[in-house]
Amino acid sequence: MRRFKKTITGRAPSQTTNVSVTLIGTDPVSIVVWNQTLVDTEVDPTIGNTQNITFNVTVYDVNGAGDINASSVKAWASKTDEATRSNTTGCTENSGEDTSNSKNFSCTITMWYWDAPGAWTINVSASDIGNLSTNSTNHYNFSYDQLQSIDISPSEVFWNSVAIGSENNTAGNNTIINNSGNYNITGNLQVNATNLYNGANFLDVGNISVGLDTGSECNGTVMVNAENTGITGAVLEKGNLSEGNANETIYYCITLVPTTIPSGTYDTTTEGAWTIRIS
Amino acid sequence: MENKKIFGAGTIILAVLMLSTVMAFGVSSPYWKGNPLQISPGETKVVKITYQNIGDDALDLTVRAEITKGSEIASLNKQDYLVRAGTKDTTVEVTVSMPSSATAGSKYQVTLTSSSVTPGAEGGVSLGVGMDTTFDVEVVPATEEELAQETDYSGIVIFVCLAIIIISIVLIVVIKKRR
Repeated sequence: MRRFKKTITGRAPSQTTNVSVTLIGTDPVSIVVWNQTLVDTEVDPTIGNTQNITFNVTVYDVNGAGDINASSVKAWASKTDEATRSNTTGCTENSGEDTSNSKNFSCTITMWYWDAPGAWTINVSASDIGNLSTNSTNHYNFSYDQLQSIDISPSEVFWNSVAIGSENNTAGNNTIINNSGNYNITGNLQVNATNLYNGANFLDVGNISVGLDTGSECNGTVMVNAENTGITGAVLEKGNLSEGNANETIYYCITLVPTTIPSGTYDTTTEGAWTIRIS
Repeated sequence: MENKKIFGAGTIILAVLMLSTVMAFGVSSPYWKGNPLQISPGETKVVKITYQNIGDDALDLTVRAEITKGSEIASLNKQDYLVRAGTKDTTVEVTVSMPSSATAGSKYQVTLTSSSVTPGAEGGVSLGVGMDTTFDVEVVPATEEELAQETDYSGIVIFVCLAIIIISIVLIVVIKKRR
């Protein structure tokens, strides 16, 4: 006969324990870009500045929303011959919008004023926790609008006193013109000049020329009253103004002050301002 | 040599006392040369073009708009636009109406000319800015959906006309019977 010895200890015979098991899936994520929200001013470049393009993205995973790597979602925009534009901080998860198999994200891409108009491809990538794969899509796009834009500085031109009958009087200042949009202005820069009046007398703008280099303005393009006169040789491609691109300076010269006009002050108050324009 | 005097009766002056700084004006458009608006014969579409006036020292601008090319198919409902400093949302609506007689495949161009209305500076030459915004218009065949809509619309018109005729006949008959 076997004998059993009873021993009483303080140990509980059983206890409850919290157990959590993370199930990770093997299926990759899939991505949908809601690009139809990009309309009107959202895709207009902004003069001399950036423009944020913001859109929503849904990432799906048949293995459950918990299998989506929420910090992995990235977006960028691309176009042939253009620099890629991306969001450096990644897309932001929209809290409270999860479903059992998806998460929503808000993505912002920063575009620049000189980025070319036309169709840009939206690229979005997202990673799966389970199989560590990264999936991406480039099946969506948006149309970035054309922006014709110039900055001129200063917005007046002056001459100091010039003698009647004198020749080749260069203006006291010049005009800096910046191409602050994404339109190619090369070959499309014009000046619409009007005669300068002093009462009933006027200085015909046929006596005024505009040039692109200091020292050559008196041999530049001759103005025609109230006509859009193209400035020959102006180069104003789109580009980054901060890097010294996309600007041109024009210089003015009164090639001859006619002896037929009396002394006095001649200005644009009668005929209105001259216009620097893009054709 | 009296007319050679620098500061005498024989001089002209084009000077302004104070120079303003930067004037910035832009026009953004969803269509341009090579990126046409597509429209069907008999269809009307509104193209929204936007004015921008943004710069460190921007001042409010009045901009005059005009259709200088393609006025046979394009029109504006307004000529002058106040573009507030620092804004990029002043919308110009260009209404493009394609005649029903237009043939698919034909092409047009529309030019919107925009110029700042800038008063002349006293004693000098003031400068404004302007630009021509040109876009292509391409006539395309009507989609089935558009054709269906036209058909539906025609059906409604016919139905209403028939209803009016029937009601009129009934009224006439009723009135005659009462007499």
